[in-house]
Order: sequence, then structure tokens, then C-alpha cells
Amino acid sequence: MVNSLTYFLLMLDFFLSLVFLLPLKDYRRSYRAFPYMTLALVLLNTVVHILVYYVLPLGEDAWSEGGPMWQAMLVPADILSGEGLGALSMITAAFLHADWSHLIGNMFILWFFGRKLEDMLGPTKFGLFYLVCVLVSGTGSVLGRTALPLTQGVIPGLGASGAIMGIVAAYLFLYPQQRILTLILLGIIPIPLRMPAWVFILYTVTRDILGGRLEQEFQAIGYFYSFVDSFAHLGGVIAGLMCVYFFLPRELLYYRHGPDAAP
Amino acid sequence: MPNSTRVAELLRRGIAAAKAGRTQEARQALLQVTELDERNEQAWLWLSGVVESLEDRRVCMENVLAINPDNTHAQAGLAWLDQQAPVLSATQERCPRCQSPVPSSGTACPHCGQVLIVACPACGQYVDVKETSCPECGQFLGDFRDGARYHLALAQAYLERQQYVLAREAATRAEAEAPDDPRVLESVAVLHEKVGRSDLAIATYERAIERAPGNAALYAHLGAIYCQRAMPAEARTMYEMAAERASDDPAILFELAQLYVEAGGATLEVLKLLEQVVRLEPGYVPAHLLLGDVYCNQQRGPQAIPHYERACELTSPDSRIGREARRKLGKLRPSRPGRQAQGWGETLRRMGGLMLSPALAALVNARLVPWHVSLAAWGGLVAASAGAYLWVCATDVPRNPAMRALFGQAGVKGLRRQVWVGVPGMLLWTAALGLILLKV
Repeated sequence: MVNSLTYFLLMLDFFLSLVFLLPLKDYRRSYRAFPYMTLALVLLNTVVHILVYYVLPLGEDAWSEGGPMWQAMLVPADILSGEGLGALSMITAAFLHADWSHLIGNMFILWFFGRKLEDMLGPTKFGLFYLVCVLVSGTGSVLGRTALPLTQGVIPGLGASGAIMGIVAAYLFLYPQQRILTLILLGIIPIPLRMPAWVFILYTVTRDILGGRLEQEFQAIGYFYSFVDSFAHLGGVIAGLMCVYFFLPRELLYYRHGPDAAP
Repeated sequence: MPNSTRVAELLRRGIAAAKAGRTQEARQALLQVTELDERNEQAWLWLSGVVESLEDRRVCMENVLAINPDNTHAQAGLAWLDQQAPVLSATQERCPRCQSPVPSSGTACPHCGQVLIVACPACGQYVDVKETSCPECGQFLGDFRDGARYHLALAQAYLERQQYVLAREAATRAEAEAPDDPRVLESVAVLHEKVGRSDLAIATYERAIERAPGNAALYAHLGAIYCQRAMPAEARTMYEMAAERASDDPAILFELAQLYVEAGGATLEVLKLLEQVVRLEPGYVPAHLLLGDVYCNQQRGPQAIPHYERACELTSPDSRIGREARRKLGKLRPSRPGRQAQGWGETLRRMGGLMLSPALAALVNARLVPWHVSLAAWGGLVAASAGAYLWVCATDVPRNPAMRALFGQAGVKGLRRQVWVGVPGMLLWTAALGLILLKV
């Protein structure tokens, strides 16, 4: 039976789903150099997508269990049983996408937030940080989806969104007050609005927490709620907030935690 | 008609005309009397009331007293004239500019408005406008024929002696002399501003702008007044217009940037303006200081540091700006010992970033159970640590203790050493990660 809390969460998620946030512009400029690593990641994702769907002669059953692409996707149950590619599947899955809309959505957010972060970290450290986000978000996905009562982690996951949420969270860590010009799609009504970065990210994290919780509730009564891997997103957020510390320039780190917050 | 009878008749006619206010007729009659009888006390006395200039009046009075020293009317009249001496001495019969007759006690020509007497800024005595210096104290006054410049100089002199009312009057006279000259209007506006009449200054600047719309300085001055009057929106507009007309004037660009900063927002525009200011004038200290502040507010400490450093270089250590720049620089780049900045803590933090990926990969491959991590994976982790250490030594912490012990105080300095240390480290790390991921 669905209890009243679940109803409340369902309604909340429904109302939040009516709002779609599309970041258009923030007010930071890149000063160091062209974001080579961000561009490389976007291109790599796109090339892999084209290869997998249009170039390589993969059969119709390539994506089903036992097929050639199955091991390249993240299957939590396989990870925990020690089968498949293990950690490598987290990396390969992060470069696979379900369709063009999935790819374009992810790459848009990666390009928007990634180049600002790359500007601060430098291309090498940004690339390493992205790899960490991939692994931590994959771990989050494994832990979260294995605990789901119905599927128990046997459904494969794919997409870069978990790692990209890490980038987004790191952006929040670095620039919480940065204003982002966001196009809010309220149903079909577009409303451009400058909002602080933390609002944008709070919205996304709230939806992921709700999605994860509702997925568990629905699977407990034998239904699916959503195919969005909210646990990977949350893992990415944790990675972004916790791991970026290791990649920041010393000056910035000292500045943020120095004797006074700002001179 | 006998002479005495004629004198009496003329005297009667003159007095009657004077009483009736017909001064010219009275003057003619009485002058005839004095010609016929130059010791006629009554004629001189009445004539003193109808002559045009005060000097003539004085002469008449003195003649009366010469005839009759006890004449109380003449005595009182002369005493009054003596009291008015400063004014009287400066009066003249004709306006020095238009040559029209002017009232003997007037201060300005009723025909052309030319001022006839001016107060000396030094001693306060009223002086004939034709005088180029004060007869009393010798203070240089200038030539009234210079027009607006003469009055502007006087206004400036009044202002220096804090004679604000006189300064404002002189400024107004200067504007009246050259109402279409934007330079004069600008000077007048500056004077109004200095005497605390910013409303008048604004109006004058607006008139000057109407006459010289391409003059950026006028917009900038007006913007400055709006700033003082706490009208930031108007000030911004003025400075924006000034910047449009003088995009290479660092002072204007800086003021505009400062207004943007005070308003909050438009950070990119502020940075653009300030970068342009320091490009145009690399020694512009306030611009460096403000640039540093803007970068700091954006949490971009590394970019702020060079500007604070520049501000420190350009200013005296005891100056207010110099102290401020040093204080801010100290917060951004505190004088931490080099040992600490390049110490083991920093080295481990850097290595942590590199070790996260292999460690996570090993953990995932061990089914997320740490004690299931294989011996080979542990070996891979050790190799990855060694690689990570060499990598960070070549890039981020080249003077960490081990490298200093190995290579001396300079540590891993120079491209050759960096390549020799960094490339093997990078290769080792990559190989170790690959081995862990591939579960070799």
C-alpha cells in the first residue's frame, strides 16, 4: 500500500517535474585557455554514440544480456557478484547513451558547467576529476539500485549524467552565489530568470532524492517509477562536493579557508 | 533787468524747478545764478541737490561751506558724502562699456548690466571696476574688458577667501558675459559646485552639455555631482555617456567601473572596464586595487594577487592605499613558510586527487568489500601511489622535502628535471590504473 508520505512525495515530484530548468548563461568568463578537455569529453561521447549506433555492425540483441554491449553497461548485480568488467564497466557506461536526446541533454550540461570548472582546475586535473566522478557516481548507482526491492540491480544503466552531476556539484562548491541565466519551462511557458547556482543544483538534487525514494516505494509494491538513475546522480553530487578538494589550486583553497572569507 | 533782480529771479525759478523734480531746468537756472554770483550760498546749496554726479555734489557743498562755514545743511551733506566714500569714489558718470550715463550711486549699468564697482577680495573695499588693482591694498583685480575671464578670476579669488556669496555673484556675472561658451559654463559650474550649490552646478553643466555635446569631461563632472548627491543611476548614465565619448580616458572608465561595482552585478563589464584602465594606464593604483577586489568577490584569488602586488609596488608602504593593498594581499597569499606550502600535507592532498580513481576502481572490482581487494590490486595501488608522487613532484609540489633532499633547495626545477621525474610518474600511474581496471 502506498502511504500518505509517498503520496506527498509523488505530488511534490509531479509539481517539480512541471518545471524544467535549462541553464543558458552564467556570468563567468574563461580566462586561462580554451576548454580542451571538456570539448574532448563531449566529442568522445558523441563519437562513441555514433560508432555504437550507426557504424559498428551490432545486432539487435547486442544490448540484451549476453550481448556484446551488455558488459559495457553498468549492471550493479554483476559488479557485486564480481562478474563482467567491474570498475571498467562504470567508465564504458559513462560514454554510452540511450538515444540522441539523452546524449544532447548530458553534453549540454557538461559543456555549460565543465568549461568553467576546467578553467579553474586546468585540463588535466579536470579530466582526472571527471574520472573520479564517473567512478563515485557508478558506485552510488551500484549501492542504490542493488537495494531496490524489485530489480535488485539487474537492470543495466548507462549515461554520463552521474559524472556530470559531479561537475555541477563542484561548480556549486566553487561558485555558490554565481547567477545563472536559466530558462524555466513551466509547462510550455518559457520564463528566463537569473537564479543563483545553488537554486539550480538544489532543484536537481531534490528531484534525484525524490526519484530514488519513490523508485524504492514503487518497487516495493511491484511497480517501476522511473528509469532515471537517481542514485548515480546523487553519487555524482557527493563526488563533486567531496573530491574536488583534492584537485583545487592551493591558492584558491587557502583563499576559501583563509583567516577571512574575503579581503 | 538788473543783475541782482535777475539773480533772484533765476534763483526762484531754479528752486521751484528743483522742488517740482525738474532737475535739468533747475540745474540750468542755478548754474546761471552761480555764473552771475559765484558766492551765492543758496544757489550752490540747491545746485548740490540737482547735479548728476556725486563729485559735483561734493564740489557744491564745499563751495557752500567756503561761503558760509556754519551752513549746517552743507555740513550734513558733506558728512553723508564722506560716509559713502568707498562707494562714491568708485562711481562714475558713464558706464565703462556702453558709455551710457549711469546713476552716481549705482553698482551696475542699467543699460548693459556692466558692473560698476567690485569688492576687493583681499580688503573688502569697493573698487571702481576700471581699476586693475585695489587702490587700498594693491590686490590685483584684472581687466574688466576680459569679460567672463575677469569675473571667473574674481570668483576664484573670493572662493579662496571663503567669500561664497561674492563668489557666486561673480560666477553668475561670468555666465552672463558668455552664456554660450561651454568652457566658461564649465568653470562657472565648478565654482557653483565649490560654493556648495550643486543644484546650480547641475543646471550649468546641463547648459554646457547642450552647447558642447561631445565634451566627455562635462558628462564626467556632472556624473561626479550626481555621485555626491547619492543619485547613482543618473551618475551611471552620465559616466556611460562620458565613456562613449572618451573610451581611452582611464579616469572616466574607472569611475564607471566603480559605479557598477557599487550597484552590484555587471561583473564582466566591470572587469572589462578595469582591465582596459590598467592597459591604458598601468600605474593606475585604484584600478589595480578594485580589480583585485572584484576578482576576490568572484572567488578568483589567483587572478587578484597580481593586481594587489602591482598596487603595493606603485604606492608608498605608508600610504593608505599601500597599506590596504598589502593587507588584502596578505590575506590572499599569506606569508606561509615555503616548507608548509610544499610540505607533506600539500603533497598528500595532491596525491589524493590522483589516487582516488585507482582506489575506487580497486574497491569496485573487489565487490565494494575492502578486504576482498586482491594482492595484484594492492600492488597496483602501491605502483599508482609511486607514480602519483612523482607526478605531483614534477608539477604541483616540486620542492617537497624528498625532492629537496634529492635535488637541493630548488627541487624539481627546470623542464628537463620535470620531464625526467614527471613522465615516468605519469606512465607508472596510468599503467597501474590500467592494471587495476583490467583486473590483471
